[in-house]
Amino acid sequence: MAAYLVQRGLHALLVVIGVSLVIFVLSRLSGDPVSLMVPFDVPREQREAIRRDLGLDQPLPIQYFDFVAHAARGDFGTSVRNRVPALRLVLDRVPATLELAAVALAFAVVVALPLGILSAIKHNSGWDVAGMAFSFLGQSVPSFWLGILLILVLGVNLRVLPISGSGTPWHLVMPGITLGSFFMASLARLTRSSLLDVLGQDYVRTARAKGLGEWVVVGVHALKNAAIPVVTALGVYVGQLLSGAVITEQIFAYPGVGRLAIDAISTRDFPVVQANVLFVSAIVVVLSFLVDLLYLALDPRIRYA
Amino acid sequence: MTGLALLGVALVLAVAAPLVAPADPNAQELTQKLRPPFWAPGGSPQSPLGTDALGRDVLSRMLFGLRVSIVVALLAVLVSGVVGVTLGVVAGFYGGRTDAAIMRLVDVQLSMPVTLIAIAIIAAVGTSLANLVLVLGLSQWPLYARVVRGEALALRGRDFLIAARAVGASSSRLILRHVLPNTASSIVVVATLGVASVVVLEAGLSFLGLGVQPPQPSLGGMLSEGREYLATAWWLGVFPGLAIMLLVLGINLFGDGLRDLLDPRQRLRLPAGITSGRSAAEAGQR
Repeated sequence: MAAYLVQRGLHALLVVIGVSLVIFVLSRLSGDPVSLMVPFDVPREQREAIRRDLGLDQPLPIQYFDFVAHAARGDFGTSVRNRVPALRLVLDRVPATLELAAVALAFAVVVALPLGILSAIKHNSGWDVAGMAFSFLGQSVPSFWLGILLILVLGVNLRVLPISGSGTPWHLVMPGITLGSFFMASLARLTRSSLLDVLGQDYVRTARAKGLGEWVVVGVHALKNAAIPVVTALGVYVGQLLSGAVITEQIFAYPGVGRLAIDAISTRDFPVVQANVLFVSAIVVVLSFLVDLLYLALDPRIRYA
Repeated sequence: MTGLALLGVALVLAVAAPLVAPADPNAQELTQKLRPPFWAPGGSPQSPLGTDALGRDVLSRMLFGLRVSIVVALLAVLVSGVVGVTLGVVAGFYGGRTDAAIMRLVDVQLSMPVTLIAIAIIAAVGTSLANLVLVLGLSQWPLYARVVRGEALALRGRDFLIAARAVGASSSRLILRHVLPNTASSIVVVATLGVASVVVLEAGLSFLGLGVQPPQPSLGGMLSEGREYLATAWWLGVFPGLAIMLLVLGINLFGDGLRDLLDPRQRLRLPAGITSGRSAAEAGQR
């Protein structure tokens, strides 16, 4: 178990290093940082002085370690546009995005689990076919189109929900459904297939043979084992939810980190872009590490390995 | 069959776009702006699906947008396929440290918020079709690497490979002549379903203004323009999205059918929606 934890921890660290490398390389690809900072008519000597001040005359590996050292202390530089620390801009937006992701995930789980379980128990019935057709369709509808359709029907025609912004719980309904729909569909399919797998196992037959009721067989014996792949998927979804939130936030003008990223990109505010991507990646890494811990509870093979 | 039909129609329309489109996709006719589809009051058969805010024909723009979507998706899948298959087959064939290193790379990339990083990359290197293809392609390679590596690993101990090695075949010959052909059907299935996820990713980036650049028509870009006019011109937000959905649905159905055909025993346990990563067994091993 300790070995498992250490390994997962090292993996998380590697991911963060990978992301930081990508971001560092990007910051050098996007052109001379000095030319973004000063007017074009600043003389060469002055530019060189700025370069030295910023450490840009150092070899690239040293610049990278410098970047990491600053980033580790939460220093990503100052927003070019707002003149405040880039990280603070990101931190201000984090709660809104986490709220949205939580609503989306809750929507996905609440709809998908009953749907998947029902489809598996009533395998090959009308329920099963309808449920799977529904989730197949759900996987093929691009989230941004679903968002637009929701705005059209619920916001413009029926006028029952606000179409943009944030503030009330009502503001979270449409973005939550939009962001959660794809995961709902995949989760329903996965729940169904993994429960079907488990229901075919010997121990389920034994449980039935000794006369246990169907509720106990499915609810106690089968579901717990079927949960393992579902939890795996959830770990991956959490990351995709946070990064997929970019589009959803853009559709609904929702003030989260994703919208901040797009705004920062359009104003070429690179410190904010860097802080944004690295911070969101860090959240993703931490969350998937937490999901890995869930395995310890679910799968004794890991605990005793 | 439905999948094949949908996909076939989409491909024919995309190839024949210049022939079937009723108008030039970029021709602006400001006097004809925001016309509804032909069946609605005020619509005309000249622009069957209406016109946008600049008076451009929606159907024509969709047909050319479909074309761009398909071309970009195929090229991106080619990039990810070449990178992923190469790394996957090397990892599975050689095993050991090479395998461990490549699979660690796969795991690391699968744990990154790829959409967000793709956005950051495009923002830094600039928007062009070539950059779009590269970024989309490089975001998807781990899927191919995983599947091919698994297949190659399973082939390692097989008699025909040992026999081929015994008669003196070189490693590169073994890989090219014996391992790769045996993984081909899996690659075809993964690539087909991969096209669907790339189409959605590309539409998403174009929606955000980071993909195909206006005035070149793209389905995602049309949706983002349509979002501005939802209160007055519903068709701008409905039809391009419907086209993306039908295309993706067609590819997914076709891919599923292909998998049933090529892999009847369902060895290839593709993760739900192809984008999710590790299987439970692998997670358990770690």
